[in-house]
Amino acid sequence: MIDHAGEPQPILDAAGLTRIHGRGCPDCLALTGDGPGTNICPRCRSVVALAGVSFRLWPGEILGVMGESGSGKSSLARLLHLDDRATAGQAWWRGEDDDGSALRLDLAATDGWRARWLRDRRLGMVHQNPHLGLNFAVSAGGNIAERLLCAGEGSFAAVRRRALGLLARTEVPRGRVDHKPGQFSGGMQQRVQIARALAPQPSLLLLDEVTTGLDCSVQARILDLILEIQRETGVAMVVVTHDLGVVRLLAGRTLVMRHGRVVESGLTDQILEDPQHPYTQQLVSAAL
Amino acid sequence: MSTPVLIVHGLAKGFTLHAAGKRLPGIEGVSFTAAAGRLTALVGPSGAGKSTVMKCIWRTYLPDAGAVVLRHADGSDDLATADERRVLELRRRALRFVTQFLHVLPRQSALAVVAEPLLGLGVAAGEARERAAAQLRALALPEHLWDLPPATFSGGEKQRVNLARGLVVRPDLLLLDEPTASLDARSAGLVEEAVLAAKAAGTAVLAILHDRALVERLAEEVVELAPAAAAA
Amino acid sequence: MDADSFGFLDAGARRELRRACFKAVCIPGYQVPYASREMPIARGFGTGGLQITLSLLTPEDTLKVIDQGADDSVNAVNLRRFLLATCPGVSATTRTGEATVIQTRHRVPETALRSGQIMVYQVPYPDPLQIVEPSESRRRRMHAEGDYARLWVRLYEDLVRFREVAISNRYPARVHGRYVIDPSPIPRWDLPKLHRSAALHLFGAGREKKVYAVPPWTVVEPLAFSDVPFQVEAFRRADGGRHACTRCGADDSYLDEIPLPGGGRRWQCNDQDHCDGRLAARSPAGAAP
Repeated sequence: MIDHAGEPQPILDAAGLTRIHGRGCPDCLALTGDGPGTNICPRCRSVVALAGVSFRLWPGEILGVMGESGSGKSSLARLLHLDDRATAGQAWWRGEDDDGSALRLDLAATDGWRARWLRDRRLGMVHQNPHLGLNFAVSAGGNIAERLLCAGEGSFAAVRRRALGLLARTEVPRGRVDHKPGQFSGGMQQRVQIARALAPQPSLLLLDEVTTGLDCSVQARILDLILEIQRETGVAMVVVTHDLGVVRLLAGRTLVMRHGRVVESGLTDQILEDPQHPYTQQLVSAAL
Repeated sequence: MSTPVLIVHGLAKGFTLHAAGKRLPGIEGVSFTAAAGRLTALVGPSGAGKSTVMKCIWRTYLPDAGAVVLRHADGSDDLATADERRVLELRRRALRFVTQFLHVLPRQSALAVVAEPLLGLGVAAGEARERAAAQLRALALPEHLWDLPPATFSGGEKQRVNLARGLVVRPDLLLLDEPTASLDARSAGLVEEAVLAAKAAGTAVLAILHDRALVERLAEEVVELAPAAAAA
Repeated sequence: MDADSFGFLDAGARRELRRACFKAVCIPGYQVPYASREMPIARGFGTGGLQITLSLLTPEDTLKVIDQGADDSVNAVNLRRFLLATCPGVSATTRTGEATVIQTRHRVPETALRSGQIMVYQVPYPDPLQIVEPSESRRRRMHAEGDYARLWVRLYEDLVRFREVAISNRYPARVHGRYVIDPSPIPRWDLPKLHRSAALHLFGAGREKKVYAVPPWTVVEPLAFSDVPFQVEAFRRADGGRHACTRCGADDSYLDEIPLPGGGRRWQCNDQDHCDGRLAARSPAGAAP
């Protein structure tokens, strides 16, 4: 049952992802990182947001990406959602085209209609700030409808039915479906965002600090929900967070990032209980 | 003696604390085997490294040296060096760890908690629930509790849910950390029966046991650990 | 006759506008930018349509100008007077069938258009996405990527709130299966007339400096869900029947609701020429062989 001939392929295979903001110079990578302790090149003042980030994500897996602000974790999420382009490196996404044929695309270099197609039909993103992920001018149902319509649904009844179903799944009361997100609590806004991200049944869901700033009990409910949905749908997830508790609960494997680099990666329980890198040890001991 | 399911050979693990510039000794040169259908007890004084051995097998700790070979239905793997994804796969299928604590989603019912590992293996929902129910029945968890979240349960009830969750996938190797600690006599008895049933079903059990009487009753093999410094 | 030097516009302006119109015809529904000139009337009073008409007219043309279906409203009269004064040789008509160029505000004539005729629309807001996206650069990107989901969301929200689409005019329509246009403030009633029309339809927005086109015989589909068909105004009476024009009796035209001084209302064709034509055909004089 393990390792059969049809070995599954990773849904995402990132190799050497690098993103430099600024004009860059030949010494940018050498003069930044863990050793120099900065991600700003002292020579040209460019910001090295990501440098040589490599990892694989397997179907149905939840990968944690942990780090403090400025570590590059959100840059990584932006890049994987095609909201930004890499300076160097690749992020190969594997999946199916509309006709079901196998498709392989570099998320770090895809643009134009394919980028839109990926965002509309294959990727989902949940932001820390609901204003980035939701249209506050239309109702919760309308927000879901937009994603369904983007993905090509043409029947009002079907859109309405699926929007109601998705919102019910994310525990938004039926009576609130036609209310605008501005009338919702922070926790409910995040649940609407999750429903919206899930609408086209994406193969990859990106979660960027989705519980940051919420009350503890609200956080727990959302994390539970994410885990339940992952089990039901099998969607692969990249969970970006500064919160050790979030990766502990959600992620099987975790990358630890600092100054745009992955300083350590491993099983989440190993990262938390037997951290190898001095920085990870410091992060973990600070949290305990 | 039947074929070993687990072969631990020359296992060593210490801890480097970068901030303090210190290295803490852990275990060194630990070797033993665990066989199918038998219980191997890890015993020794506090600080002897019993938990360290368990965590090295579960790969929460990265071993410094040695091999941890798990032989299972689909071949064998060295857990000390296996790739993380492989370890996660083995944890789902072949290797289960039942600790003293039950970490589950607070809103899940006991039945769902037990059925969940099966769902992870692709078992259909209906069948998973049936097998989970059978496992809970075998552990004598009262049926009126099945639909409630285990967070509200007593220690003994929780531990039985925990054990059911470990046993339901019929693992090749079951790791138990003090399975009867802090349980009343009746609950402990039920847990003991469950461990016996697991052995009878052919699972190799590796357990940290403090209670000598329990070791006498349950264990076929005993592995005595001494603190690393003393062993060196 | 050199088409480049005729009428009010200088040769350069005329050439540029004609190029913009050609481009608009080549890319149906695409909003082509152009350098909107200062006109002797204020922007917002039809300068976009006026410039297109000025660039099209030749002395052989017969011009009709309508505003809300009427040839004699102030806006229509002023525009017609200006066009005739600056374009020598051009004749004017109120008859839809006789015109070669019809400049219009808010209506498409009821009389079927024929091949060779050109409709010129005065457009206040050329971009259908304006109601859902304030940034023009983002709107351009949305058009480029065919991203009209937010317009669809508007339909969704209308259906949820009102159980019907509440857009009475400027109803967004997809042209040639690609770009979605704002068909200027024509009523929903007129939108099906654009579909596979024999005439060329040119839309000019003077303030927003855009020209776009629906070429002859082009497919024009109102945005609509597959299970909620697009519907035109029904003009239903309380008893379920349809109102008819109290003047010419037409029950298949777009009607105006006119309040009567003593209370009550009466219904009348909005298209004056159409109504007049039907009356003339009925009267003995008009029925001459």
